[in-house]
Amino acid sequence: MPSTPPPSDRGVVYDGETARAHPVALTVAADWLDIAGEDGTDERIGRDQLRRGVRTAAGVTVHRVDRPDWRLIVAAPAPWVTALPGVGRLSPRATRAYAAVTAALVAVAALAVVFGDDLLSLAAPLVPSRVARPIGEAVIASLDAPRCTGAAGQAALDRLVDRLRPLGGFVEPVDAGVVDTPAVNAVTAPGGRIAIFRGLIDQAAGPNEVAGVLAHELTHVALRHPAKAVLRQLGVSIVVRALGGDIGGAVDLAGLLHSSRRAERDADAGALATLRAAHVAPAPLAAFFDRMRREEAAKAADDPTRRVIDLATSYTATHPGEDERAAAIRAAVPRQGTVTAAMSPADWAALRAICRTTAPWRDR
Amino acid sequence: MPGGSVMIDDDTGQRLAFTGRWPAFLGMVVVNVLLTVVTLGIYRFWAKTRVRRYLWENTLVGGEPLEYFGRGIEKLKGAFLVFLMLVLPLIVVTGVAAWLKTQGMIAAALLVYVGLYVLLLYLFGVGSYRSQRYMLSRTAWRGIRAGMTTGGWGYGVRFLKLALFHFITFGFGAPFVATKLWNARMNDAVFGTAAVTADANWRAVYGRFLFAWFGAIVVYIVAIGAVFASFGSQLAAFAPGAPPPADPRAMIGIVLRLYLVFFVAGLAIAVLMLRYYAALIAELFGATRVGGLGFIFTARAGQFLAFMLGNLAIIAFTLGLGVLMMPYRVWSFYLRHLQTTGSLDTAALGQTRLRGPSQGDGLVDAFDAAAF
Repeated sequence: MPSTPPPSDRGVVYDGETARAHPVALTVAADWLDIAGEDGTDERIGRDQLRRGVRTAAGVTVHRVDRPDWRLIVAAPAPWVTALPGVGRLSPRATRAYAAVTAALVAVAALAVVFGDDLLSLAAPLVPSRVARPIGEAVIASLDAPRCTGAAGQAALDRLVDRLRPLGGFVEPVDAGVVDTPAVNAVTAPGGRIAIFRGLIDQAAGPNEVAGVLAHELTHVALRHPAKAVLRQLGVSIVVRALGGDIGGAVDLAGLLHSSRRAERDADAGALATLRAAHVAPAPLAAFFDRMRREEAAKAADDPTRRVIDLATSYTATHPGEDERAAAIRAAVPRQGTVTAAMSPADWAALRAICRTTAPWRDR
Repeated sequence: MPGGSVMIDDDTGQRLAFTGRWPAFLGMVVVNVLLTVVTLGIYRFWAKTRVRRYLWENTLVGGEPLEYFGRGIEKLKGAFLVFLMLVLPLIVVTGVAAWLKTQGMIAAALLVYVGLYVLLLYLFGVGSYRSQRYMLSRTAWRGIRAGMTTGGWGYGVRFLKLALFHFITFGFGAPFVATKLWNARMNDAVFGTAAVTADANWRAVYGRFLFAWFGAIVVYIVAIGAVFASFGSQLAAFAPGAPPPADPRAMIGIVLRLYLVFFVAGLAIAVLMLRYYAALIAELFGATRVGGLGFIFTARAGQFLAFMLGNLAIIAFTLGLGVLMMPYRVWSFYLRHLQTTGSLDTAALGQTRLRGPSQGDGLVDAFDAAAF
């Protein structure tokens, strides 16, 4: 009596045509699978056509390469099922392609983290003024403050800018003005625009403090930091945030803060060189930073939660801490050589009076 | 299972069940976060795909699991397309608007901004439709795929109109808007050859909606009244410039009692709102059919409240890390309270001819609006 081997397994086939369940008996051989339906159908499939899918409460799903919607559910995880290649497994070629792309992406990301800031510095001079100027206008407009138009004050400021002119001249035409707002601050916008806030002039103990801040802002212009920021915002940040989502955004922010602090340190160093060349004393700038720090500390002393916040944000600030900057400047004082006042008393008085008249910001 | 024609209406087994286990899910999402960080965020597409696959595969319909076969690369492609075709042009347009403003052309700039806002609202509608389209096209049960019949551009127009209606009725059209949008999205869906239909009716929930809003106002007034009636005289101590209290500990007692009143009032308002919300969800599911299969959603306001307080507690006690568990919590909550009625003739249920989109739900990723 001829003996046939007993069916090694049972399962259910979904043929991908309808949702009807076809209970089947499975016979497994070295290179094929025989599927016998209870309705008398019989099909032999090469085992190279089969892929192992997910294991769920119903059993292990087996897929077919040639019929994407076909499914076989095997309740018991027989060894022949476990031996099948996984359905998601990539061909060797696809694996190599994925590996190459991933390696390239990781390399690009690593290069961007390590050298991104330097690359932006190299690319910054390539931003045409046609692009930079309208962006700078928008930056100045966003200050939402009118420009101070005192003619004598503006002339005095222009003389100070001229005194702080580097040997080779400016990399682009500079337009420094005062905006009528009480905050103690100064901003360099793309297109060579420098806006000094009235509050800074009001709070300054003398013209040398203003000269120090102006030298700092002029270094931003010389190092093309505004153009770098434009490239960063419109190039790098948008791509990273769009494709990297929230976590990509956090990584981008960390890079932005790091590069911003570096730019401020470079601008401080540049300011010292500029002041020395112009024979202006740097110490008042240090005094200015000291005073800012004392005011911050006075505010913090009133409020313990603020102290905690300050400690936490010292890692995330866009500028280095004021005392760190003051210390760097003070170190330069012994090398200052002979110095003269940054402005004549008449010019200083004119600059302090510059906001008697104001008008909407207009470039000169 | 004699023969092939099995209806999934045998009442012996659970028709809908969720077999997921939270430690397994947690392990997966923690690995997802780590991989997302080291890839500067790019892995998030694969992370989301893994979450969906876990939830789908642990969802049993008539004893058999759903299947999710979307792939991370499809989502990356979708996000890349949206970046090229939407994000970049938007940046140019906002730049133009900012420039117009500096040139004094305020009206023109305003027009650009309004146009942009309307366009984004339209695209948000299209995106939510296309997200559903992508997910359904990657969903199968017993080898039969689901899908959506259109690309969603027409749905975007309807979404825009209903958003306008919502706006001009000061939000009092919300139940109308919610039911109409659900119906529109469901009536375009198919599961194999079975049509998905929905005829949710806003009138069924409008009473609760009004009761919730006016009830909330009443609770608010009662709470304010209770505060003034019970310790109105002591409230002077909170006025600006009031002298410092003689006994700070008494002040703490007053503050705690104030918090208690507002906590009870807040809870009452939450229950009122959740009563409406639970009724709305029950109406949406109850009015939806897949072929001959209907649904019953059973969660009441109290269960929603317990669910939401549980979510808050989990997030609070894990310092926010519990957010990772929310897809699991939401999915299992809805499945626990969803039952089916009627039957689906699986022998007559054929395969759909829809092919589905080739790239993922990038538009909704751009708005970061997908729940799962």
